[in-house]
Amino acid sequence: MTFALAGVPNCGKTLLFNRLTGGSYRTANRPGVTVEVRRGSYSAEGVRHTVLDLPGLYALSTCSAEEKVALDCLTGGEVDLIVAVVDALSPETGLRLCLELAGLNLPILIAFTRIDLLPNVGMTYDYPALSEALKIPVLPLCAKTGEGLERLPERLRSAKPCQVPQADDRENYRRIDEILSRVRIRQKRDGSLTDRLDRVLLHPVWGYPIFFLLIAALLLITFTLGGVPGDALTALVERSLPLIGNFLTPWVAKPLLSLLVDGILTGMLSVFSILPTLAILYFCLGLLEDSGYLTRVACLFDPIFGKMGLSGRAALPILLGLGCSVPAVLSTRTLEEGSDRRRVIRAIPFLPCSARLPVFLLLARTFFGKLYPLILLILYLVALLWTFGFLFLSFLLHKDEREPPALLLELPDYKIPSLTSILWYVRDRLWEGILRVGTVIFLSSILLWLLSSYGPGGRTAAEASFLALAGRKIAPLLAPCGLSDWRIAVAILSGLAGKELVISTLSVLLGGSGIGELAAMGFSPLQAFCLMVFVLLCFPCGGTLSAIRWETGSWTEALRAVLVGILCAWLASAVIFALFS
Amino acid sequence: MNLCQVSAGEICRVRAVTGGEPLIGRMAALGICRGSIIRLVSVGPGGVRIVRVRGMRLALGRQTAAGISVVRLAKTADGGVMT
Repeated sequence: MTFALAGVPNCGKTLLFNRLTGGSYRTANRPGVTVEVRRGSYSAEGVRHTVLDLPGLYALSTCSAEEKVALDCLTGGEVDLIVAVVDALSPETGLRLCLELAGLNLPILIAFTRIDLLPNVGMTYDYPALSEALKIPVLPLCAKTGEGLERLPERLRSAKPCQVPQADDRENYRRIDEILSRVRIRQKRDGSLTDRLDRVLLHPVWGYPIFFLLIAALLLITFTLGGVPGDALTALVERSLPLIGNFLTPWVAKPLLSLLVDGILTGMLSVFSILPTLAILYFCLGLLEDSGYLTRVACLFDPIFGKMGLSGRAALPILLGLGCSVPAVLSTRTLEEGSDRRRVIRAIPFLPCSARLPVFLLLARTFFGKLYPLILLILYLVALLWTFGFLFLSFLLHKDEREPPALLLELPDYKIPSLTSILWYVRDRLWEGILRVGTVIFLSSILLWLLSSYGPGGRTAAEASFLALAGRKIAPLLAPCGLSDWRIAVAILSGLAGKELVISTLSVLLGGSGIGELAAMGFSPLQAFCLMVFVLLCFPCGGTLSAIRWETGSWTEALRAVLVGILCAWLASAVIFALFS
Repeated sequence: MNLCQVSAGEICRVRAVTGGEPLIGRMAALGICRGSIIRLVSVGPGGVRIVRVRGMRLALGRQTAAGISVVRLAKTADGGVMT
């Protein structure tokens, strides 16, 4: 049997899904974390069920893309039974949805979750009376502890379609209010800490400095703290590479040894040294998200984004874009208007995603010494200004007479972030990163080594290889940006497969101490900065391009991202180079 | 009067909701329709209204809030309303 977990956003469907299927999907304290249907299997009393975790929806007649996904799944014929998940702390919207779901004529039962928190707010329910009044069976449970789940198999067996009178929203709410006034027993009122916090964090004036301080702190912590283990790792790599080479020499043929040490190991290790920094960045982002603050950012930015014809919700994809462009592009689904989505998607590739961070970090540390956190902050500032400028420009160019989209957003309670869920988040993101390093970088390192070790005349020095020939064709075009070296041209191109590759490619091509060689070659700090700006703005990586294609449904849009990116990168770095040289 | 004219801490009942068809539907799904009891928690940046309605905390843009016409109720919460 297949049953679907359906409910309003942020009511705990994914937590219940994880509990039932033993999965470890990410949950966060904000609506809209799940944007696609997930599948898992749940076995109880010898019966195997397929469980579908649907994106949250408020109503069956709706307008946002993620809600459509849920609705299509429910009406597609695959679902045998609906488990409607309702948050016991604020059940009204969830129960109204249940009344609507019952109209689909599928067997239905209500999972009343988070009952463990009811004593905290001095509340309890008369569950039998609730089931009877709604005419839908109600199963109280707690997904976190598993309390109440032992009765689920029996309830699944006995569930049947429920005859619920269909009415409009007003009538449904009147009915729910009337039912709840009878079955909800309240002992005392909660004095809400969230409301008091919101008065400070969402203060019309102080809200902004607090936000910028938080983001600046996040970036500074990431750059400085992450640098310490990163330095140690880099030093270890630099020392161990020749040792590994010496150790393998007697056993391995020379070209193969060169492939292993100069190609694969150099490429992969230069990227691994950045993992501590990434872990800290994702930890900080997870902290902001799980505490419930990230949703507030949409409120803070609504007035500003309104001037660009966007809803404050657009702030979320942009913040996520500091982590990775791919989830940022996917999260634009929470934006309702098609053209607004497209504008945000076009701006996302300009954000300094964490894969670009290794490039910036290594270059900044090599060329700017102790000043590197300052240079990185400047670079992030440039990136944010560029992104906002781009959004504003696209608004001016495509200005229409439509009203700016209305802000209507649920704000979850603040909570102390759960260390486990943040560590899961960090682990998942790092694992994704390692897998990329493991596959994409592994394969490209080999390809790169082959192309840079062989030329038209067979095995040759890098200067006469196929790669050098191609790089030299492109390099003159980059001369106005101060980047006329063919190896840099090749490194930038390799970023198409993944931005981390820029630095590993460069290390492989330069040989010796990697980026350090650049300085020895007489590469100036200005040129290094131009290279950073170029890498920042130029085309998005393959993963992002496919996300753009997927979300907009057009390859033209992906191609456009590449062309606009190259143009912007070339112009910006050429202007910087001309101004300061 | 509309929701923009209500000050923080006050409780009111919705008389009518105006705006585009999808917005009205969306608000109804979130619990803002004629007869709903709303408490204005605070006013945030750019006039964003933070309200509690049916146990949920919502942020409403100023334009959205201006479209909600309300009657001010006494400040004392009535018994069945989660505020």
